[in-house]
Amino acid sequence: MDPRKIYILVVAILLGIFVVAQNKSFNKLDVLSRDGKSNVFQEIQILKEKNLSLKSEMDDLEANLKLLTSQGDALKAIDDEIKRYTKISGQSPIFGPGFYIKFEGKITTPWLVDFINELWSTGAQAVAVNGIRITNETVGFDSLPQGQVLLNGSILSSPFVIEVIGESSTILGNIEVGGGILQRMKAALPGMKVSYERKDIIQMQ
Amino acid sequence: MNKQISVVLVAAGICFGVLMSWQFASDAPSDSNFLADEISARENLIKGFLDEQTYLQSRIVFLRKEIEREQDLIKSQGTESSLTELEKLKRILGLSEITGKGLEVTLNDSPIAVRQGEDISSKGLIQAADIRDVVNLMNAASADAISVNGQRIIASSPISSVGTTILVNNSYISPPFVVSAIGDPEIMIQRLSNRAALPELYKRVQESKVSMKVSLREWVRIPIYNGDLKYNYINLVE
Repeated sequence: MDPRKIYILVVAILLGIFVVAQNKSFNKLDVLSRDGKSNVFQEIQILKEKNLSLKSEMDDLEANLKLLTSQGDALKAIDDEIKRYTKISGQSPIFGPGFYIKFEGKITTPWLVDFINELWSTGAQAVAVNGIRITNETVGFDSLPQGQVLLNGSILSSPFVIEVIGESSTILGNIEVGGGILQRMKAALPGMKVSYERKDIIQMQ
Repeated sequence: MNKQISVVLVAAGICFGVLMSWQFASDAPSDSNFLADEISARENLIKGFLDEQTYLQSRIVFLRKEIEREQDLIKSQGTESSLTELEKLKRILGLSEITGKGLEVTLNDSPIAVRQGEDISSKGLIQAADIRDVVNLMNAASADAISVNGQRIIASSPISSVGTTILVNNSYISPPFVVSAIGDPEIMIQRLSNRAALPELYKRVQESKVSMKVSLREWVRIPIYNGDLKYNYINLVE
């Protein structure tokens, strides 16, 4: 066969491969999506951790019930429960170890919702955005017509400082992972700057 | 003649390249039993975890109710004010069942989409982000309580996905996804009708035939939160 024809054939085959590769890369861009891709190991890990947390909660509740049924300890059990629930209800100021993360630039409401969701998902115990603690009584994120973000009736503006109480290493490790929420946000919100700092004490109202 | 051969070669080469790439990218299972065994082992492992999770969640709900019953029994022993405070905290935290007027938003996959084995990117599937957006919108409309497929939503409830599976409070849920909310139905309907508030979802409702149905309800029941509450890193400022 004429060597020129072989070259043409090889080039054509490569072209075919590139066409498919290009097509696939466009499909991937499509999922530059707000939900990351997880694998089976993560799936099993999530279930395992969830069950461990549930077991620990069950043990606490069983201990509490035991205290309540013993005459002398009932009052203590109630006080302990009040203290425990006060910590997470947002009714009193709290402090603890954690970190803050600062986003500079324009962020849209859905990405803030997703980021906060990721924080809870990876073990955050308390979260505040620009000083507003997120509790069950906080009015959710909203967008104003000009694109500003509203939280609990207050307009938030850049920089968005998100404070977190919890196990910093685990949470930061999960949000920074390749394909994780930070990478997806950076891809979707070009120009956004991100910085964070671990803190021994984060205080929230 | 030479030119014709070249054209045929180019066309054949491109076709061969395309077919080869598709073949390599194919997800078709191989004939090996190893893959089937692995999938089966994985399914069994996950099923084991899910069975355990169901048991633990129902046990937690049972224990919370038992604790409430015991607390009622000792109400007369000078604990009334403490118990009132505790009740208030439980209401705030989603540890009390709530009933009232509200609505239900039912989100469902496109009739032609298949969740099993599909990529989460499939436009015909409801995604975790859609549920998050609806839940956030209900929160922004000052809903008193929200649940998704019977899972009570609290501030720290994650709504995420693993592959095409959606997890709420890290528990598996499957379509149709029903977001129930107690609150002012008019405000909530107004927010849900605003296409600018849910642009991605409305776009896919039109283009990909995922469905969103809103129903007003005179009586909605939101169950108590059946998960764990983490607080070991939190300290109260005395």
